[in-house]
Amino acid sequence: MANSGSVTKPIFPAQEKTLTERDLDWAVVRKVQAGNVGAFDQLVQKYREHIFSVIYNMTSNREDASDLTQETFIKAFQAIARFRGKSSFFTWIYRIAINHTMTFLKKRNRRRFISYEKIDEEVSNSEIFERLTANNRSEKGVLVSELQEKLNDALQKLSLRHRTVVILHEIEGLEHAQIAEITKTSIGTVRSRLHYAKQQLQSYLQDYIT
Amino acid sequence: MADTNNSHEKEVKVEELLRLKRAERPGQVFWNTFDRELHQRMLQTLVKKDPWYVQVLRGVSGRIAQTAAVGAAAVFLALMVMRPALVDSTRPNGANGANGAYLALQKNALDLVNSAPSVAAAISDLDSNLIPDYQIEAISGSITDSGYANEYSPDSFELASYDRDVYAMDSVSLGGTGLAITLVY
Repeated sequence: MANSGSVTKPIFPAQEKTLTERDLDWAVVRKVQAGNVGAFDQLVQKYREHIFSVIYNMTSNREDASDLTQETFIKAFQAIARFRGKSSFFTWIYRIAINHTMTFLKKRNRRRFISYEKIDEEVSNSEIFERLTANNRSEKGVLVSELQEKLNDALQKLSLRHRTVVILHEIEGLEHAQIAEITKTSIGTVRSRLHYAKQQLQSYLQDYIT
Repeated sequence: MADTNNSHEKEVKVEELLRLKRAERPGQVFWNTFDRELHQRMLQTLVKKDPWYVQVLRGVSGRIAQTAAVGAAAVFLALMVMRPALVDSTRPNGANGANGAYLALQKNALDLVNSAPSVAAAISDLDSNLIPDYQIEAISGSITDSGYANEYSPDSFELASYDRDVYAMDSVSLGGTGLAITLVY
């Protein structure tokens, strides 16, 4: 995995969420609270891709994810006057996104429309795909789209709680403590859910796991 | 052994598969559209009117607060006006003369006087206890009403009484309502 480039690079390294990062966000939040509405755009630019990624992986639908991401920022904007900085803005916006998405998915119920985001071409040249191609003896292009479908299907089979934890940890790269704070659960619960979810995924994706 | 190492090298873990999901990222065109739509929606929320029930609640709560403040001020004013009248009714030299309460009190006092060794001293004490320590001789009021739409801002009421050598003033302002009541005695 050492040469897998941007694929293995955490989108949101937990280590970067230091006090300084939190303070920077808080400073921007204070600006918005003071009436500088334009400053909110800085927060949107900073977090939109991460929020979209979480919601997209929870819904497996790019249009829904786009709408829900926008609604997340609108909700945050409407509520920012009441944000007192007890948690970091990062935790707060993630919490809004996850709660909003969960509400949406519960309402959507059985209606499941899958609409995938185009996979980055870099990934097909990654080391893991070399191994997968060798194992499956499939053509690389076919394998990419097939695996994308299988991965999304497998994630959708998980319960919302398990799916959220897996996405935040394995895809977003957040630490257990951060996930516990976002989901308002204990670290033990996060670990337990993660363990169970991975077991489930292993059984769903056993064709690709050697 | 070589085969084992080879199989380990080819081993794919579920975590590695999940990390492939990081590659599902939208391009710049998507984000341009996203930003444009988000700005439009945020502007809409800024100019959008609240639902009717929110407006009604806000109006009602505002009216309730105003009415409560004015009501409290009126009650306070009424108490201030009534209090001297009540005190006055117990005075022996009041406009209406002795009333029932005073007569009852006087009867009790006379009983006490009859049974007491020092009659003159008892009567003197009784009289001095019945005289109130202040009396309102004049009530003046002024109201400057700039209209309900101005949320009662510059209204003022004043009650004043002057008793020879004693001169004191109490004032109460009801915060937020613009009402101030001053009692001078």
